[in-house]
Amino acid sequence: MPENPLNADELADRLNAALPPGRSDLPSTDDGDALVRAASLLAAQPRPEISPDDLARIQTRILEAYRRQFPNHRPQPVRKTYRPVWRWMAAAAAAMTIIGAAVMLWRSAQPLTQPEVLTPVSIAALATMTDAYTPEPSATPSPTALPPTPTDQPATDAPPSTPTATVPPTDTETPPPSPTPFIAYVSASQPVNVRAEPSRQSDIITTVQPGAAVIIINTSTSDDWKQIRLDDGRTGWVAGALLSPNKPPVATSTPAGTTVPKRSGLPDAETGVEGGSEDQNSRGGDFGCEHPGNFCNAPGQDGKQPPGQDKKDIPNNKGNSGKP
Amino acid sequence: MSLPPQQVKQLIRRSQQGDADALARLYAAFAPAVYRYIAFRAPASEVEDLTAEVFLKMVEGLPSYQITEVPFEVWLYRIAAARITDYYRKSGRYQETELNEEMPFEGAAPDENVLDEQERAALMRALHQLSDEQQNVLVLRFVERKSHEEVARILDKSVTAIKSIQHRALIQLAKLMGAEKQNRHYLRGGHA
Repeated sequence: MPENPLNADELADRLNAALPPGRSDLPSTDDGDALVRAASLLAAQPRPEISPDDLARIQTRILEAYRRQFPNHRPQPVRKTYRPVWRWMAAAAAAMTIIGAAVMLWRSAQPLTQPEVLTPVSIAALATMTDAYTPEPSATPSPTALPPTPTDQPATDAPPSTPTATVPPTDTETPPPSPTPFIAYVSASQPVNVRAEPSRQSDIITTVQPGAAVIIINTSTSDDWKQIRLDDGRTGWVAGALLSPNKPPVATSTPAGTTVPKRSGLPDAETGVEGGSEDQNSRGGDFGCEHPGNFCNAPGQDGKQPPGQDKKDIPNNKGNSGKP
Repeated sequence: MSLPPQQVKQLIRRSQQGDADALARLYAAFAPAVYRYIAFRAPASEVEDLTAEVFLKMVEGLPSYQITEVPFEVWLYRIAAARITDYYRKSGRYQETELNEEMPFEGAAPDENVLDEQERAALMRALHQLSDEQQNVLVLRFVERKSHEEVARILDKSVTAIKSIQHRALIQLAKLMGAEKQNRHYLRGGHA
């Protein structure tokens, strides 16, 4: 049976539509019926289908003739198959290159992001912490605010940027987190007393020499005194007016009795990451401009390194014990 | 199997470059329709050979074939029509369509199926007495179910011309079948 035989009405419509307009020789009704019947019969004829054998046989003949026409032909689909593969491989290589470059850029940018942690936020946090700090007078100095000082850690490693006011030490080798320490220099022309408490009436623990670098770990409530950490782990208080964030221009020797240490893992002034210019100078503002020290007009406020301030300029007083 | 026009064009391009697989797919897509068309236009014994000739001509003409918006099957139908015309020109036409008493009208009183079969045989004989142009129009219109526009494109004529040819072909076909019916009635002993 045909797939879609035309019925008589459809054929009649088509036939009427097929008649040219104005034709005078239109068939009579009988003739019209005959036309419809003829067309219907034609449309109802079985549609002969080619058998698979005939199809294959004819195809063989055609392909033989085709290969004679293209005797040296190499199948085209093979080449077309490889083209997309190469394109995909090239695209994948390009994508991997881009991703690799992006990863390298990201990694190289990692150290640059650390000062961001240390500068505005940490300084503000430190300022808040130091303003709210109330020193607890104690006869026995304790390394309450000393940060961890791993010996095998590079000097550029950042100390904890989140300050903690006072955490009881659990171990002298691994002190608890503390306010971020930074380096200052003794700006006085004579050795400076280090006292057990932020008071002139307190006992003198030891002295530090002029120009010596000290690690400031805390500030008194009145901002007059700075708590420093001694080389032997003890802490003491020094008058803030005698300290400066800038190294004095005249290098001083390191006679015996000074206690400012240069420990491994200390903030490195050369790198500027920890005890560097930006961090240090920003904290210098916290010393208070009412003091006659150099903190108020500390150079390097714009982030530039103060002259002569690098790692090798930090006096190494290690091994010298201060007087009690 | 009906392929989207874009795929047909791609197969044609590949075939023109020597891709036998593409050629085989083209053949498989269009062979049934061409075979059917030829089966209505030529004796059954010649259908296979004529179909093969159409596609061999296609292979020969592929390198110079220009891809246009005209469907590929139009070209194949034109090749088929030309091959059939050539076949009848060489073999002499109407010989097989002449009515004679040897045709399948003899025998016992026919039942419905036999009458239908006789009617179909008469239709084919009448169809083959029409002109090439008329046969092409009727087969493409009512067997291949092509529209007037498609037939016009295949036969390179206007739609109006196709409608006119179709009308005249159907009148001629009806007359031939009516005459044959009267002849059959007379041969069976009926009254005209």
